[in-house]
Parts: sequence; structure tokens; C-alpha cells
Amino acid sequence: MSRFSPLLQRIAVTVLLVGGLVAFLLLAPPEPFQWGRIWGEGGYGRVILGGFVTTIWISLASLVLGLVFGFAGGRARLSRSPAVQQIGTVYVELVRGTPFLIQVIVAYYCFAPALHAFLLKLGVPSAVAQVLDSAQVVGVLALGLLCGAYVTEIVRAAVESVDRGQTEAALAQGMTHGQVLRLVLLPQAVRRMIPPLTGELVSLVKDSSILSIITVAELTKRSSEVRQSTYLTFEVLLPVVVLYLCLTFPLSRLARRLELRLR
Amino acid sequence: MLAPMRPLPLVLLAYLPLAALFGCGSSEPGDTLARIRARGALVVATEAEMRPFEYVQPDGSIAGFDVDLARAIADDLGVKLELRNVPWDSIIPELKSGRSDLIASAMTITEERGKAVLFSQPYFFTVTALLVNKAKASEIKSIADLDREGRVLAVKEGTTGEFAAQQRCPKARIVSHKNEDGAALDVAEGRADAFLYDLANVKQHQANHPDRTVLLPEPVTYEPYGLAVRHSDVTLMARVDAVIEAMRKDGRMAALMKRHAPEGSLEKP
Repeated sequence: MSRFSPLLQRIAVTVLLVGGLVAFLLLAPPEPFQWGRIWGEGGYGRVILGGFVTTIWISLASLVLGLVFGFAGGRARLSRSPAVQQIGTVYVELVRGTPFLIQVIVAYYCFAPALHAFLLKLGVPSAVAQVLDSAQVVGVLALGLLCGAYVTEIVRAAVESVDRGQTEAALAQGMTHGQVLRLVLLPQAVRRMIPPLTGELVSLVKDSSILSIITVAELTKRSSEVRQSTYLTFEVLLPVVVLYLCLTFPLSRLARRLELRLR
Repeated sequence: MLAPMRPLPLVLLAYLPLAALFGCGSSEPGDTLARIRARGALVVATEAEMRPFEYVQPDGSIAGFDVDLARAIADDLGVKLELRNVPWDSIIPELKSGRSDLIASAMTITEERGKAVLFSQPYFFTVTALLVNKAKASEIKSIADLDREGRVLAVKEGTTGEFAAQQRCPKARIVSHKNEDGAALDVAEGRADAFLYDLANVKQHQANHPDRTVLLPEPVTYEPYGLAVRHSDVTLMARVDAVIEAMRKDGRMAALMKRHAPEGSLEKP
């Protein structure tokens, strides 16, 4: 194999593995596939692609929120004030230690209606309260909080992994703690965060499917509806797998590139 | 020293469970009928994954027997119909939290559910039947043949098929699925011996797996479907019942039967 270029080797192995898997699934179906009923004229392609678009924007919005929550949480956990530190700890333990499915149901069916009623009492315009009460907004917030809890730990671990001697040396030079964090620790830590952050973002895209339980019509929910309308399973789910890969694979590639550039 | 970030917003997070505690189960007080009129829409929860009662069409809209029934009720109230496509597991919380006014989702009237919601009079009686793996069809002729050690019976989670399976086949292993196509595939692939569900749906699954499954059309149970509202919405339910009654009398219900052709009957068999 070593006579071939590395790129060629990679392509060959990918085609063999993925192609083999696809061929195995497609070549000998127990019953003939009926792709046309899903993807042909008058089929359900638009319903499924609509769900795909929802998955994309929900993932992107909660990704941004998750990074914001995560860096804020990480900053709190690295604080020298025990009270502030504890805020970060409580956040992480609360969110990471309970099933996301339950968080979503409680947020949407218990917390959000209570908040809605409370906001209306405060005199917030009903249109605004309505938006905050919608499944998409509650879902994105919940997903952002979930992602943020994991990012918090990634940020903390990455900063703490930088050799202690550097902090001591920088403090001895007369830098403040804030300066040490900003100028010495973070630039090195960011590089170390990228691989675990990538893993986190990829699972975020997949976790967005849990929001279907609160009526968010994302890709998994839409495909479930189409499955029950047509009674077809593989004709729906195999393309859906490809759609999820279309989202997660570029994310991984992008992260890998960033990682190499920062090295 | 590190500048501590302003902690106030995060501290408020700690009150989240507390707020949830107070918020849970407390649907907005007041007259639901008045709110429906003020809003100009009847909000109906349905899980559009149950042909021919509610299902998604290629253009993304929801159609079916229950949809037409709900529209008739909205028309009677003089408001628009707004459908919310809700997963089965969330459909009762959806009603109780006040997000929807009514459930129209091929829901079987049961005593347990009656503790959670207020049911209308039955508007339809469905038939449950068995989809059986073809290789085992010679051994399984009825539900009684499934009540043995080592038998595997697939059902859809939280449905009357599941309740009936637990009652009639206590010796069998009952596997509950989130989606009915998963249950049907289990039978086709031989992981399960049979799938107990509504006859209309089981028929469709049999047509999808003609070489690997057979249908036992003999009815296992008859199940009454009802619409549901919150226990406090007695006036709304009186209107709903009146509409169902009127539709039975003036033939609109019979027209729905003709249009959607569900397996079952309008009267108790």
C-alpha cells in the first residue's frame, strides 16, 4: 500500500468500508425497495428536507448558545471566588447529571408555561412571551444549556491542563490572574479544546432529535411521520442517515483543519 | 485576582426546579371555551402517525378521520382549527399544560386514561388484530397460542394493543416499540412472533411484507375511541359530545367512514 499516495490510500479505504456497508444494505433487501413512494414525484421528499432544514438551524443556534454558556461556565469554574465557582459546578452537575429527555419535557411542559404566565403578569407583551414559550425556542435553549455544560468542563480541563509552572512564572512576572488566563493559559488551552469540542458539537447535532418529544418537527420527527404514513422504513431512514452525515462530517473536517492550523 | 463575573443571572437558574414545581400540572384557569373564542382557534393535539385517523401528507399537512372530526367541532364553535403534531408520549402533558384544548388522536377510552383526561362519548370502535410471522403461522392461530413461555409479542408503546397483550398473554415476552413500523419489522424478520395492533394498520403492514407475514383478521379486542379534554372543561366537552351526536344523526359521521374507510364501526359491535 505504501507505494500509493496517502490521499489515494484514504479514498480507497473509505470507498471500501462505506461502499461495502451500503452495498450490503442495498443489494439483498428482503423485500424490493420502494424509493419512488418517498422520493419520487408527489412523494415525501419535501417533508423530510423541511425537517433537515429545521435540524440545521436548531443545531447551529444551540451550538452558538452552547459555546456562550460553556465559556461563561468555564470562566466561572476557573474563578478564584468559591461562590462563583460553585455556580459553574451546580450548572454542570444539574444539567450533566440528569437525562436530557426529562430536562426537555420538564422545560417545555412545566417550566415554560409557568414562565409564560409569570411574564404576562409582569406586563411583558404577549407576543414576546409567546415566542419564549414556543417549542423551538425552549428546545434551542435546553439544547444550548446541555451543550454548554459539557463545554464548561472542556474549557476548565483544557485550561487546567496547561503546566502550572507557567502560571507561577507569569504571576512572578507581575501579571494579574486575569492577564495570566487571557494571555498565557487560554491561547494554549484553545488548541487542546478543539478535539473534545468537535465531539461535543457532533453529538449536539444528533441530540437535536430528542427535541421531537416537544413537537419540534426536526429531521427524526419528520422521518418518523413519513414512516407511519407510508409504512416504509429503510427507504426513509437510509437517506436520513446520509443527511445527518452531511451535517456532522463537514463539522469534523472543519475542526480538524482548525486544529492543524493552530498547532 | 480574577474579576468575578456577575453571578445574578446564573443564580436564578437554581430556582428553575422550584418554578417548575409550581408550574407543573397547573393549566391556566378560566373558561377554555372563552379562550378558544378569543383566540379564534381550537388547538388540537394529534400524533399524525396513525393512518387513516391522522397522518402526514406529502405536502406536510395533516389529514385523516380525526382531523375532519376536529374540524367539524371547530366549525361548530365558529373558530379555525389549529393542529399540533405531538408525539404520543407528550400528548397528555400537552393537554394538561394548556398548550392544546383537545386531543383527537385515535385514543382508546380506558379507565387509567380517564383519570388523567375527560373523554367524550365513543365516536368509533376499532378492532385490534394480529400480524404473525409467516414461518410460525402454522403454530399461531389465535391470541391464545401466544400465551406461552418463549413467545415474543410486539406492541406499540402505550397503546391498547399493549394493554391487551399484557392481559391476554401474561406468559409471553412483550416487546414494546416506539414506532409501529419497528414492531412490524420485528415480526417480518422473525424476532417477534406477532404484533398486536389496530386491524387497519396491521393490514397495511401485511401488504408491505407480503412474503414474510400473515394477517389473522379475527378480532382480538374492540376498542372505543374518544376525544379528550381537561377534567375541568366540562362545558367544552358538552359541546364536543353534542357535535358527535349531531354528526351521527345527520350522516356526517357515516360520510367520514366512507371517506377514510377505517377498520371498525361507529356502533359498539
